[in-house]
Parts: sequence; structure tokens; C-alpha cells
Amino acid sequence: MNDALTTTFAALADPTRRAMLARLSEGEATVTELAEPFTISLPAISRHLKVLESAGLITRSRTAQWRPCRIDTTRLAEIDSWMAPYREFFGERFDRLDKHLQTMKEQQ
Amino acid sequence: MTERGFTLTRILDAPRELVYQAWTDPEQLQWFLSDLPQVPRPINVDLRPGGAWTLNMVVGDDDEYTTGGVYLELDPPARLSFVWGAHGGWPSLDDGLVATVTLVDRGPQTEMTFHLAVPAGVQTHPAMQQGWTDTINRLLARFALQR
Repeated sequence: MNDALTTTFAALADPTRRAMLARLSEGEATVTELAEPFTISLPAISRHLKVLESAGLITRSRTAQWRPCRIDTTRLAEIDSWMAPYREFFGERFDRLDKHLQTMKEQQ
Repeated sequence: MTERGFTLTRILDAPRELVYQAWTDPEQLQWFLSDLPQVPRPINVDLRPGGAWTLNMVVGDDDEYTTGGVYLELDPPARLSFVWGAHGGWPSLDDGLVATVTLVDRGPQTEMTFHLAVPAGVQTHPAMQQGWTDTINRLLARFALQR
């Protein structure tokens, strides 16, 4: 199993974090702005942001006290790789189907 | 519910009728097994909507499971669809993955389009504990990451 993918999914498993990412997909935001729609405490917000940052889903600027967060799409792009095993499975099968059909035609 | 899936298209060097038979004749379904050495076991096909086809897949030393599908549509030689999955293997028949095979004549050849539809919320990846959500789909769509 791909460890980065596991970490990404774990980060996305929480609805608050998904909502934060949705907000960040519209542009960067400060911690205060991200916390605004939620009734949970700022430390809790901070914990969520740490998880997102560790998963590489957001980057945080440290140049000012208000730290803007920005979405990072690199890990999101890898999510589509969950389909890869299925594609490979059938791709291989169809190679075999191809060979099988050749054999059937030769027998006719 | 947002659906996920993928499509594979192949040009096969055989007429549709032959391709359709390869998909539905129990004597011909060996191509669905892996390249690993297989233990000869009978392949069963109950060729009707709601009927099941099953074969034994060997995936390693002493590791085999029964896989196949349950037919939804059968429209020879143009189209067949089935719920795809395994008993005690990957993916599970209960997950409701639907495979659709469409066959189009291209002269002496056949254009085969294979589509696998994966219902949203299916734990397709062991790490996806919460399943997929519209939010993630929107995120991917916004950044044009979805294929």
C-alpha cells in the first residue's frame, strides 16, 4: 500500500478538514478565516490544520503572525491512483483476451 | 451520488460474435485468469440476467478465491453488463461494481469498450475509511485532476 496515499485519505476522512480544503480551493486564507464557519475551538482548528499540513494537502506561510494557508494539489492528484489496480487488472486480462481470440481464429 | 469509474477501449482482431463468446462461454473464459499458473477448475456460467459466472483465481501459493460476476444485461453480440466481484477476494461482489462491455463492428475487427462503474462510498482503497464525498470530487474537478 502506498503510505502517502494512506496519509492523504486519513487527512481527508474528516468533514471539517474537507470543508477547509474546499474553502482553500477558492484561494488562500488565514487560520481565523478558516475557523470562522465552525463552532469548534481554535486549538481544534489548529490540530486539523496540522493534519492537513502533515499530509501535504496545505502549505502554511510563516512570515507573519496571521499565517495564510494555501492548498497544495500534489497529493490530491495522487488520489486518482486508487483506480490504477483496477485498470491494470483489466488491462492485463484484455491482453490475454487478445491472445485467446487469435487462438480461436486460428482454430476456425 | 457521484459515480466514479474508468473506461478502457481496445480494438480486437476478431468479429463481435467471437468476442462476445469469449466473454460468455465457460470453455473460453480462461483469459480472465491471471498469468500465474492456474489450477484447473471448472468455470461456471449461468447465462441470463441475474445469473452468475464464476471462476477460481489463483493469486499465489495456496491463495485462491472465486471471482466472476452476476449478469445484468445480455445483448449478443453488442453488449453485456455484470456486477463484478469476488467471494472472499478483491473486490467484493457486495461492493456493486458494475462492468459494461460494448462491442462495435470495425470491419473484421471489434472495438470493445469496457467501463467499470464504482459507486460513491465504496471503500475501494483500504485506506478510504470514510469513502468518497462530493467535496473531494469538487476539489478534484476544480483543479482538473479527475480523469
